[in-house]
Amino acid sequence: MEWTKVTVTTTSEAVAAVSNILIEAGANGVEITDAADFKAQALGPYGEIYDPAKQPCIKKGAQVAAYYPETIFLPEILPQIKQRVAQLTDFGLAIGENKVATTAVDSHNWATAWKKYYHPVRVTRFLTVVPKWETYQPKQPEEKLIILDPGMSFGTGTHPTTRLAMQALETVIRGGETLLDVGTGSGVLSITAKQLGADQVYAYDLDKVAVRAATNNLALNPIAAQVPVTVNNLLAGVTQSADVIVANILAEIILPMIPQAKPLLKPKGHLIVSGVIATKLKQVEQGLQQAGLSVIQVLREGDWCALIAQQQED
Amino acid sequence: MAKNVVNVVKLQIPAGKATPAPPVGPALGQAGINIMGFTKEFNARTADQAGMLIPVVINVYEDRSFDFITKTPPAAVLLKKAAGVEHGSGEPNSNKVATVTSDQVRQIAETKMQDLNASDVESAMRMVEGTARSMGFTIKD
Repeated sequence: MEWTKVTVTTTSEAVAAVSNILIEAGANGVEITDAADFKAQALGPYGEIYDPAKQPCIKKGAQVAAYYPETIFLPEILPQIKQRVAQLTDFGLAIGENKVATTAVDSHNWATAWKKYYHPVRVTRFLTVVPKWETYQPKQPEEKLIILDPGMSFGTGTHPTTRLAMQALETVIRGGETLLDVGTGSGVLSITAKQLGADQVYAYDLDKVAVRAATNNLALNPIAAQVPVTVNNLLAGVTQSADVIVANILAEIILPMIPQAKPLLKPKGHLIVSGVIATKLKQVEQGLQQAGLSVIQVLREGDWCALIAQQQED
Repeated sequence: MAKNVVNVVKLQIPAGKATPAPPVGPALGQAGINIMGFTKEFNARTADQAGMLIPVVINVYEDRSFDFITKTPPAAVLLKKAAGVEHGSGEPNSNKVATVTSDQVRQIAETKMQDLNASDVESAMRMVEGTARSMGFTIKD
């Protein structure tokens, strides 16, 4: 998808009105840069240190930027945007420079810019996530490496929800298990499971981009290269029974998945759910209990929780 | 310990529905933030406000870790809510689509005061009034 960025240079007081004009023209949000935000902010409200000299900020006025996909016909909306912004003076708002600029967006640049800040993450004593473009020497003989190029899919080992899910996998996997990885993202949990000794692993994701990323990442890790990755909506239609089911998604999506997971779990099997924000913990706990699963452990990091639930004996 | 903020990114995006598509991707990608990490955090924290446009201010630190705070909905959204309309007018000079009272304008200005770069409530009110008129709203006393 090709995108065009439309940037309106204006004043602080016109930001709200300009944002509305850009959004009503079809943008799915706006990006605001306001010189006034950087003034007198040497120290932020939580003790963060701001150094305006080091920040890529504008020195005066404000800019509001919106992005339009190729499906929106810019030659039609651009004159309307210009006219409506120019009209703001009629309504008592100063518009300053009032420049409207368009630039083509290079999607490759923004999708990969963060990679240069992504370095190996030692998640547990046994598990380290290593970006594919870095060389890493294990610090201990039992340390297992998960090699990743996450691309635009989730799961880099830097986010608490991934780390909690990996810790939970380390807690329940003993070797030889069959495991289902729901919402695999980058494939990080499937690779973790194989490294910890799981036998059969099946990965699913609704997003085709994630399925491609996971397939590529599994191939980077010979131990996990044979793991099948399928486009699937949660566990709909899945009949494979499992010793462990792991899902790092979000509470709202985990809740409808619990009743799908329960019948697939073998006796004493484990369901690991991560991506649960603290305020939703109770709701997910109840969901698991209502399905007849026992919550045996809750892991926490900051505001995030992961739960390990277990199937009964029969 | 206080950390060095190297960038501040300010966005208005739909609650609970952030994706790596623009504006999130380009804004955060250029700032060196892991885009998917942000969308997951933002969606989890704003899921209960789904459908609402939410301003979010993201502090980016030297190691490219980040935190963010969400703000009250934008003035335009609060105005539409107060007037009970979905959209503003495309021709605000000639086609008036809604009415709000000056009390409502004051209330919105007070709500938004802390998020706007306004020196006092009066200038915040002027911003909100201007925004309302630019949407084809009439303001009555």
